[in-house]
Amino acid sequence: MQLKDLAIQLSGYIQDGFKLDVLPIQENGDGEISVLQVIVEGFDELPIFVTATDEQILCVTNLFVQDEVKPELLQELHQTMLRLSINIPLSSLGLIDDQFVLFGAMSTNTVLDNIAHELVTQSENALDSLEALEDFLK
Amino acid sequence: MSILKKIVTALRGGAREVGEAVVDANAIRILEQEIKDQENAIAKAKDSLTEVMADESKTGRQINAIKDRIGEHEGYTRQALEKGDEALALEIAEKIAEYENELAELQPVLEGYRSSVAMLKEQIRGAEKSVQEHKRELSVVKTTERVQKARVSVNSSLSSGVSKSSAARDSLNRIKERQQRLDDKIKASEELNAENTDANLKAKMEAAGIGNTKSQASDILARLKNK
Repeated sequence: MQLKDLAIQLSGYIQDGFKLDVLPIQENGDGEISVLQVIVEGFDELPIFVTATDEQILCVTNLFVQDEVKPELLQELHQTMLRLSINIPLSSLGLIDDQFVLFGAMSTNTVLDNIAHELVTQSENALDSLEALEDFLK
Repeated sequence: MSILKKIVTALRGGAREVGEAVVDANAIRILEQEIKDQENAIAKAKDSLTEVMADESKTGRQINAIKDRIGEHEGYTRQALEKGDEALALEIAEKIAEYENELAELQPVLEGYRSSVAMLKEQIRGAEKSVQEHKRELSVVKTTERVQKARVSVNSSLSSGVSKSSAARDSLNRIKERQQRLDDKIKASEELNAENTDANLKAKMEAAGIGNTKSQASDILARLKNK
């Protein structure tokens, strides 16, 4: 999957009434695009970072870092996130280094409409998740 | 050790950055090479398999032909015996013996081909399984690598800009505020619409002389006159 093609196709795309804004991010200026920043209209603070391998498209939204979590609730937060993850449509909760994330994975064969739908859903999921987990934050 | 297990080991060993523990360029190169080697081996094994299968069916056909001929000649022998030609019957029987010797030679050859076919098929299946396994592992490594790269790119390109992501709580509040504003705007315009339709209706009713009609000078004059 070429991220460049995806960027061109997704830019300005309107899905479920939301407009998508795409910003390709280059890796160390060598011309290769390693990640796309996608912002779903109205969710400016929760950008989705899209990257791809031969097999899958991976969409990651950063939720919060470990330092933002009330230390005494960290253990409970982990448990809660494991339990919650199953209930979230199309997205899962995860941890990259010390960054808590919401992510979704799709086959590279996914049609554009479904990719766009997943991105919109992920933005809504991210907001819902943040709201649901707000009490765990400092 | 599977890649996932390596990741867990690294995590339990206190590594916070999983990528570095698992993704070295070497690991990817080795996995890719193994996949390529296995796929070559499969292609070769499939070539041999088709050859052996062709030999197998050729030998099978030969055996069937000989068996047919034996049957045929047994018939001839019986006919010769019925006619009392013992010498001819013996000669035909010798021919049958020749065929049977040939058959005895070919039978083990066929068995050999058959077991080769079974063995090659088993080998191909095994290699295909291991290719699939390596591909899956490669996918784990590549995903880990991609996420790592994406994070580095995002950090380096966004750290200078204003769009640097701030604390989650702020983000949450800002989005909520924006949604609230949007809701308020929609509500306000709905109310405005409703008022407008109210006003329209009033105007129409007035024009038709229904409801609270405006006091007209002529009406007042008429009322005063009537008193």
